Amino acid sequence: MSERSRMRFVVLAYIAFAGASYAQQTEAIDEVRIDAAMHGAFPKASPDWLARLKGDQTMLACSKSRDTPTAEVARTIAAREGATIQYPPDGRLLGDWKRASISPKAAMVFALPTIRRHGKTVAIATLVTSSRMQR
Amino acid sequence: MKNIRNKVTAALVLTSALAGTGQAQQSGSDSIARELDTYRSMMKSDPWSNPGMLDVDRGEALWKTPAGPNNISLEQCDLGLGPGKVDGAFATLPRYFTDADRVMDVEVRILWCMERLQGFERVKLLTRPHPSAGTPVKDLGAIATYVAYRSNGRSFSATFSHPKEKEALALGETLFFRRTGPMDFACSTCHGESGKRIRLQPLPFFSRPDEARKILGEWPAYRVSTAHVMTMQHRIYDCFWQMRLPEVGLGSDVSIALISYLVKQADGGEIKIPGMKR
Repeated sequence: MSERSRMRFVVLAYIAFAGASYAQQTEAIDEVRIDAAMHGAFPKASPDWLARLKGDQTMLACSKSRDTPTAEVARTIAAREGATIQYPPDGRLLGDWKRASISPKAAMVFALPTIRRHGKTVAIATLVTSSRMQR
Repeated sequence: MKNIRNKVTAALVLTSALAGTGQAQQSGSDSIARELDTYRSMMKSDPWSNPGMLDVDRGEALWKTPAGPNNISLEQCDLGLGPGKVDGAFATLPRYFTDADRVMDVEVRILWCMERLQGFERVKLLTRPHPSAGTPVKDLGAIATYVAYRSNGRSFSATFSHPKEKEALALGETLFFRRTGPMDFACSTCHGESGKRIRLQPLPFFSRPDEARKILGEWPAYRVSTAHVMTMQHRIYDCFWQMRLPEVGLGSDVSIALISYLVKQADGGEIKIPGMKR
């Protein structure tokens, strides 16, 4: 075996092993049971939050395939998510950076969901910012 | 005198010059990893320097002292090996308990005993069950640390043979890989490959038994940054918090299922409580 083919063998064996470790080792759990468990685990969550815990079709597809969807599922995801993109009506994708200002839409991020932590209400946007700063 | 001072100064200059060259020659990430290892081995070098041992002692006193409306101790609590048997019990958890008709981990089982034997109100025990930074672990956590400590030197050996244990395990595995919340995080987002870390804390890749064994055996652990013992239920709560999820209930099916999955991955790993963490 040449050095190169040996390397190739090792890489392929590693990929096969890694793939195997990701396969479901236990019996599958149905969605109803998962939802019931999640609802029970977050008793203080509002209906809005419960919907977020459940996730949308794309998140479910990614969870089910453990982030390695088949080519077909990946195409479905791309098509579905692509259809939700709204381009600016005037067709201009970039603004003038010299006259930069926060658009009302971007400002809304700061009014977006809040979360209860140790009895205080904290905006998620704040958390995201602070976690970025810690990195 | 002057001579000695000169020699010392020369030595210092020489040392810092050498240290400077050394640092320049090392690749950045290697030297960081080495420094972190030194830091961790210093933390672990003397087990009795671990402040978590204070909570092991506190937990033992709480276990043996009569308390609650019924004014009895927890010494008749059945942790799975029979009433009052503490040695080795933690190594066999989580498991299914007939009396509660539920799979329970160490904290949920102790909670159950505090409620049923001692007569504490469950709601009160579950109001703010985890300590804030700088305050000691709550009584429940201290007792759990003591119970876990009494399995030191043993290996994780939960069997997951009862149908409800199998179900908890399967739910835990599914949830581990399930994206959720506003940021689409799954446990596997951070724990799905080797070599990741959050700031100074390396993150275990839980699908690899060698990594899972090493980490699971260290919890409950004393955390230097928050100056208290953190239990596994608290760890899961905090992971969910970092995933931008609401507060997960201590002892919910979700936390028990995830702990079951982690313990299963760590099967055969040695228990060394309390661990010492960043």
